[in-house]
Amino acid sequence: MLYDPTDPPRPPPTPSAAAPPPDPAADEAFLKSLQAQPATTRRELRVRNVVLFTFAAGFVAEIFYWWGGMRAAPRPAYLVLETALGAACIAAVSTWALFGQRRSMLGRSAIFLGVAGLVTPFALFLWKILASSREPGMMDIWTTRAGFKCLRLSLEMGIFPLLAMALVRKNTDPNHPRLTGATLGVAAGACAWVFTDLWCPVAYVPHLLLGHVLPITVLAILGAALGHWLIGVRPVR
Amino acid sequence: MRKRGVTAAERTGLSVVGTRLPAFRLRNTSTGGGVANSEPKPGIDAAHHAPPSSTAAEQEAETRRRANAAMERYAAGDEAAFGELYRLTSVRLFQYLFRRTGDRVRADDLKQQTFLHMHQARARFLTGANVFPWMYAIAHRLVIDGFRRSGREVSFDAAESEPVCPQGAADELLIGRQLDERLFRAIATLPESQQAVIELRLEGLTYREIAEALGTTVSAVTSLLHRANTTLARLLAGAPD
Repeated sequence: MLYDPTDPPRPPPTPSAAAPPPDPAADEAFLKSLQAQPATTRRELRVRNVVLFTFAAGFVAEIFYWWGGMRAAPRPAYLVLETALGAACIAAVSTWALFGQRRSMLGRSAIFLGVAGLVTPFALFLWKILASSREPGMMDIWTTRAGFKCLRLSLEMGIFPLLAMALVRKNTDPNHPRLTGATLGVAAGACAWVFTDLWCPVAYVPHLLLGHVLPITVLAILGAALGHWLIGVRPVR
Repeated sequence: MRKRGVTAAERTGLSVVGTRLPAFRLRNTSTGGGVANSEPKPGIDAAHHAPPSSTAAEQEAETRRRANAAMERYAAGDEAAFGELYRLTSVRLFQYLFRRTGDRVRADDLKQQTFLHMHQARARFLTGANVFPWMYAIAHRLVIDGFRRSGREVSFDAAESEPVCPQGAADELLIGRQLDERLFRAIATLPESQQAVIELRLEGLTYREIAEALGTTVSAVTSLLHRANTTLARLLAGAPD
């Protein structure tokens, strides 16, 4: 039978004759040396993570403020609320799915991350289009707004959550660190989308692709690079 | 002694169709003999046809539970708990690394690095998480990185091996050792993905744990095991006696 759902854990094989026997003295010396090495406690880690995310949130808020904050016009208030809330829900689910680890020290599977990472920008884009298309004039072209300002704003706001999440996951992923980093970039981009959407009234499709979707892609690429250098498990020298 | 004509695959009990790799014992220490025997030996032949006994499975489940509890206590601040975790897992981890690398010094170094990573990650240990897939995933990654840096040279040094049962007949020991070496060499010739899955399966991990350790899916694991099984059976069947 190829797959047995009741497959129980098995004991390892009898020690092979080829494997040298363990050395208790060396084991004790190693354990002693390990105890002498510092390791973060859970409390310290919690404090560190709170500080990281607080700084990231602070930088995002600062950037959003310096760019002028929320700009509703010419959108009706209900449309602003609708698109922002919808984007916030998608960003929250995406962050939970892509940053969360459930109860596994190894995080989620590559397939799950890949699918969630691809679905997120698509869902945000679709939600924006569906909500805006119901209001006349919201999907019209804006000749003065190609999308480069939104691109820059999204990248500036997305980089800090990405850095924070990557630092929290430092040296944690032995299986697919680049993919993990890329999906963290997607999650950070989704969070940035929410603020950019509050600032930008344009729902013209080419503008959305350049100014709102492209930043998520760029952050994913940056995240993949961070994943390679920061998130993977490396030999201790 | 088995008559000539019995393939190595049959002697080692590797299933061609299924993925129930036995807990292979090319030396049965309890009986003091090798494999070359006309009587079915406990371990290989029996395991080929039956799942592990409930006692063995219960003991293994208990070992897992104690290891998870030890790591959780260590994460919570109990310094002595890491020693317990080490005692529960270091021998099997070392044997896994030795089979992967074929070198005692490298295996020892990688074992220490694995435990160092676990020590440094103590604060991050999630309540309810399973230690074994995590431990083997770190070890697997370190082995792969080592291969990439230094070139993959798995030299299974038969000179390092010592007879487990010195009282056994010389010819049985010799045949047992040859089977050991042939199986190890055959596993070492597999593609990396199949080798990783086979080795973790030999460590007793479930399909789900192997999938978690390697960051893949259960169906991918069973598919790789099936292919590895087929390849090993073919290699061992074709190997000279």
